[in-house]
Amino acid sequence: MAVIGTFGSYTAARLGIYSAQSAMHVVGNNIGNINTEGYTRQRTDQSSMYDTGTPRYQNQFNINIGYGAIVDNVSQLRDPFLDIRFRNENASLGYYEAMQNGLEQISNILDEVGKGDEGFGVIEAQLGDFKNALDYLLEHPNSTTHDDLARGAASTLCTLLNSYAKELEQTKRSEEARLMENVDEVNFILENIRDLNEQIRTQSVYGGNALELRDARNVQIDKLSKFMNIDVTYSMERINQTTEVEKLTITLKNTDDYTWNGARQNNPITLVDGIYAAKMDFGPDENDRASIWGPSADDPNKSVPTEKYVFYDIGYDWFNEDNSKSPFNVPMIPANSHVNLQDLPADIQAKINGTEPIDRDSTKAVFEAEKYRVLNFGETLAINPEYDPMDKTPALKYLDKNGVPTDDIDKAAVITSYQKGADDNRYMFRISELTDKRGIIKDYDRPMYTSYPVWLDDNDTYGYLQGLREMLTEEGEYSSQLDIALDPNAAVKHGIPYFQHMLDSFAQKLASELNSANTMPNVEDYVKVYGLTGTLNMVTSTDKDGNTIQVPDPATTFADKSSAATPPAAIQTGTGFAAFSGTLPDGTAINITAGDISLKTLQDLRKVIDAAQDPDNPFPKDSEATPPALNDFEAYQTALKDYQICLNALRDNGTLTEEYRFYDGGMLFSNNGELDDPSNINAKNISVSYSWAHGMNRILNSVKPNETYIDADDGSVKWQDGTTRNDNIAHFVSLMGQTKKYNAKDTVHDAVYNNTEFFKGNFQEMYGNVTSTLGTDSRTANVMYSTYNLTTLNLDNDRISVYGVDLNEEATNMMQFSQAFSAACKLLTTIDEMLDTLINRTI
Amino acid sequence: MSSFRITTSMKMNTYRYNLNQSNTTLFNSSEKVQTHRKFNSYAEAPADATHAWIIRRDYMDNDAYRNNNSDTYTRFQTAWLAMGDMKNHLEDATGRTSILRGLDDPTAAAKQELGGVLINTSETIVQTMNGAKYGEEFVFSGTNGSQPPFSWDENGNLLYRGINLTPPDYNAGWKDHNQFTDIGGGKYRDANGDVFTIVDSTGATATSGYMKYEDGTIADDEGNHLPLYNNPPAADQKYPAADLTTGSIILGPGGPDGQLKDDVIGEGKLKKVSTADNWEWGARLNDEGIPEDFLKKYGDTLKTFEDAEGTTPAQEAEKAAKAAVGGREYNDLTTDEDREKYEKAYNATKAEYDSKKAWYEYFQNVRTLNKLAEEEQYADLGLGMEEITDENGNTKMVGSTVYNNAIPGIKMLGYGIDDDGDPKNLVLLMREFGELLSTCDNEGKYPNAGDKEKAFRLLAKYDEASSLTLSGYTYTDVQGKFLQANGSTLDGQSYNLNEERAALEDVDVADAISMFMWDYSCYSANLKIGTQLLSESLIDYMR
Repeated sequence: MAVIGTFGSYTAARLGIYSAQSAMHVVGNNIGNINTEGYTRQRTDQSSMYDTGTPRYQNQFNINIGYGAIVDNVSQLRDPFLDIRFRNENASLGYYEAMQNGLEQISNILDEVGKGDEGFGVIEAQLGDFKNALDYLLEHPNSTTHDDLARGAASTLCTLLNSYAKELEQTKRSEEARLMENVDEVNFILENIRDLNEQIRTQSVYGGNALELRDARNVQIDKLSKFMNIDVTYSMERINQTTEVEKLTITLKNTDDYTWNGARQNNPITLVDGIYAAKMDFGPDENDRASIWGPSADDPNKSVPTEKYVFYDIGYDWFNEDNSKSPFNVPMIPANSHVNLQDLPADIQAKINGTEPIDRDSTKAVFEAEKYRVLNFGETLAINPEYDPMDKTPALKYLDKNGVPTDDIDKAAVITSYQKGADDNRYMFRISELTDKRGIIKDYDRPMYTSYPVWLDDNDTYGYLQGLREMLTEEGEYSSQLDIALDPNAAVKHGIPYFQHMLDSFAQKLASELNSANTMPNVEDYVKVYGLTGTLNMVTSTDKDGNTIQVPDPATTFADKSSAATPPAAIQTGTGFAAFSGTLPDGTAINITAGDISLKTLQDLRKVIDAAQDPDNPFPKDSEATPPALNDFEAYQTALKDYQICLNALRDNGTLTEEYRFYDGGMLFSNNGELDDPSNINAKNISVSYSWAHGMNRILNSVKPNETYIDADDGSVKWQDGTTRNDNIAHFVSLMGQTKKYNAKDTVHDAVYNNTEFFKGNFQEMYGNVTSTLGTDSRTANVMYSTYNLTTLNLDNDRISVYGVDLNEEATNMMQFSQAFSAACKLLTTIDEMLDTLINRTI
Repeated sequence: MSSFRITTSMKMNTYRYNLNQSNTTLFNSSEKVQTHRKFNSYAEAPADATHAWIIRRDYMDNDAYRNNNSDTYTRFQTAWLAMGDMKNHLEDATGRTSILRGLDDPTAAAKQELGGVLINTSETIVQTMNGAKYGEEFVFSGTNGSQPPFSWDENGNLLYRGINLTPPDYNAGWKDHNQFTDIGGGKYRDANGDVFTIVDSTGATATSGYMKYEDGTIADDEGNHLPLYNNPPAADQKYPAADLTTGSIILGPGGPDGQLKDDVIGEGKLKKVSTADNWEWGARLNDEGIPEDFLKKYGDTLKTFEDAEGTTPAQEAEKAAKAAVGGREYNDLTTDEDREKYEKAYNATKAEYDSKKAWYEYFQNVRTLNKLAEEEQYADLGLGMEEITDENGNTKMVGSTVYNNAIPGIKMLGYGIDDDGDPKNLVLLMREFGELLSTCDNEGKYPNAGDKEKAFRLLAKYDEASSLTLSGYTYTDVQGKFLQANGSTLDGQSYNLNEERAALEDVDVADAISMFMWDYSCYSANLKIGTQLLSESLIDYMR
């Protein structure tokens, strides 16, 4: 018999009742929370109470017997490994969900399967209608009715393209709004986790287990894991000399080798560190950058951050005088990285800024990197994708401006993000410094460890956010060198901009081919057709907006053919000819003086345009040496516009010679319906030209000169009419079926894929390629989404299998604990009876 | 799905997923039943969708081809009817001309009537050609379909699209001035292609004189090649009788002076030619129906006669007239004799140059007509329309890939002249022939000597021209048949393309409905599981 008081057994029975009651309470809690999101089933940790001490007067024959059961703890049943697996897959699910959503929206616009009359599609059918209209015109070449029909079909095609382009733009805007909302959501989650961490920490300090708070935190982490690929780690944080509490840290996965500007103490990039959390944003809005940042040295119209960084070459490090590695205050600089110039010691800054020569014998320390470049924030150097420092004989490290590998850091091309421009907004994420609830920056008082904001690399957030970003930014074959530098796979990723560019390419090619077929390619042809003998002289005139413009002088230019006294009404744009000088790829020297226009100038302009369109010898292009003035896309655009002004002037003022009196062609497509301006046509603005719409231009039946004959009456030379000649209409029909090459650079001038076409086919095939690419992408996204959906479901089920509440189990527990309770009560009454016998009936 | 511990929330989780899948499947199969399509988005079946679009494009193209084919067929049908009409007229006229051929000298009435028929038929042919219209388009106008192909001017000349088809008078100028071709090296080629040199009476090379051929013979006025006596006898010696054969050249009176004389025994005179009188265009017509050196002389650019020659007939006539009277102006002449000389020289030269100008203009126009006869007007009938680009960057249709539906009227009726100077155009021939027959007197005699021969010559050429026109009828007939066959092929292709499209896109209705029913059953079963089975647990059985 244990040494136990007479009424000691009552205690054992009472403990049994308490234990059963507690267990029953936990069962109740479990059942009650069966539908609570993230609730982890709980259990009572029950143990047997016993006394290990030896009483002073203990009988040697005594045996230790327990004092009953006690509930030590209520714990959760959860498998952290399954959480990790689930969250990994959840990021993929998020990524493909965003892709699927985005592609679905694009498909709603572009996918024409099953749409249109009898399933012939919309633009597909319209292209077919236009082609058929041309075929009918071929049969009836002298019929203005059929020309009108072709124009009507073309006009509808343009309207549809405009509409599709606008819908794509709208989709992009809504996806952008979605991205913003989701970044807000992420920030809300990060804030939540930080607050929960703080609450859990407080409870832990006081010995609480904060199970429900942990559940709530897990729910938030699960949500976060869908937005981005995260690592969750738990460590112990020392509160004081005797107390340690668990600390949760969330980092971005795979950012251990993070190398972007200013990243140092923050590898891997940390989102939550205990009671500190970061926020996510996009930095200054594109429109606000100019006021916040400074103008770019290269282009005052572009804004770049004014902070300076040093990009230094691989393999160099900081050394002390004794050749030991210097810690400086930037001990974590990875090789081949940027370092904030302001973080360097003042003397090194001075050296880099050129005010003091770099000297290895410096008294303090030496900057060993002999090769470096000082760059603006947001700039980086073009690295050769073939370069791998682990190779035995590595390829040359950099790419120069022409994409040629080089090992000279000074020749490496600088590629810049955050420029003002059409597709410059890459939605790069910025992770702020870690702050606590009060806004105090983590380790603000320890400069070496103070938390800094960092910009994320292109692929750092793999998950829903990245999916949305890619939908908003990816340009596929139209990617620029910077796009490729930021993401080597950029050329095969297709977001909304890619499909916008594809539609633009389609519209441009359609317009340029058909416009070319309806106009004369050479200046000489114009001179011949209009029988010009004068020279083109520019005079000052005023456009419809009251701007002063230069236009060809009708008095001198067309003195031989025209009596027009006023500048052509159709010329409503343009600022006259720009002056340029430079050398074309074939060595031809071009010198054009502003305002001094002759036919030779016009021919020179044409040469510039032709050179720019030569796929084998692209021009204008960057040059290693001092670039000629012509190496400027805007100059090319100006040349094109000026050229067009002159041709329009010729058309409006000249009179066709007898030999070419049939030549009533002209621009068919324009960048708006009010003019005949074929420059910068895209899917959003392609229109039937003003002149075609008003019957002043027609599809040119023929481009062959009229046949001459001698009139029997007077022996004069006359020209035959060819009213039903249709060789040019046949050319149009043929064009619709001809294979054309599509070059990304034709549409996006900074596209890196310059010399090789990304697609070859006729117009319908090109449009089909847009939709088939979309279809294939959508299918891939659908399949991947389904796969990850099922995988995450299974992983979630696996987790739930461990932490989820099961009614059968709880019912069994209920019965079990009910029985235990009954038994404990029975024990109590039995003991009572025993004592009753002992006390009341024994004496 | 299996797991060690199946919990209630797991079951609900899985149920939600499966019910959603089941609902999606049911939705998809119901959509297939409703739309009769196997797929309703590119993403559902990218490969099939891509293929289906290709077929649909082909189908749409085929639709256009069929329309084009039908239009072109109608056009040729119009041409065929017109040509058939002409064929009937020609057969009638030809039947009558056979009378002429069978009876060497039919009655006067028959000749005159035939003449009238031929003239009328020639006019009917022009009317028929002009009357053949497809819509607003004149079928036989080549590529100027908005204008009628043929017309007559006030001088009775037949014009094709404004170009004169009626040749100038063969005997005025052409015959005299277009006799040989300078082939260089002092050698010339006559109208028969034989090479000769011009020799003077001493046999020496000259620019004016007799035509001495490479075989040593000399041409006479009739074009006979006469052997030159190459062993002159001594003075006063008579030729042996055996040598005095017809066609031999004999020495003139006065003895054997070693010089050629232009007397020929039994024949006319030796032919005398001069390079100064020749127009240098060549004696023969090339394959294009123009003198072989015409282009060499005048180049590719068509100019007026005045621009090409740098002079006018009047200027030349005045120059010659003045030369005839010692360089004096007409007003300075004092005697009638001089004035007569002046006028004679003026008129002769003017006539010569007028003739030259007329022929110049005619051949320039033949050159244009050659181009107009080969004009092409394209139709896209699904032959694979393709263009090629030459080294100069000019694009050109590949002939076999497009259909040429131009039917130039001159190709049906002919144009230009033959080596005899007779028109090759059927209408002009009929008219000339008809007019010739109409001139016969009441006894059926031709008014001029040689007219009979001319009549028979024209008769032969009429047959030739008729056969050209009849072959035009055959051409339209053959083209019509081709277009019919092409139409049938296109119809067949259309059917096949639609079948192929249907196989790719359209569902098998029985399959679709049974699949829908199956999916519906699965979905219903799923719902039952949700309402009846999932909610049960041990708690339901506890007391």
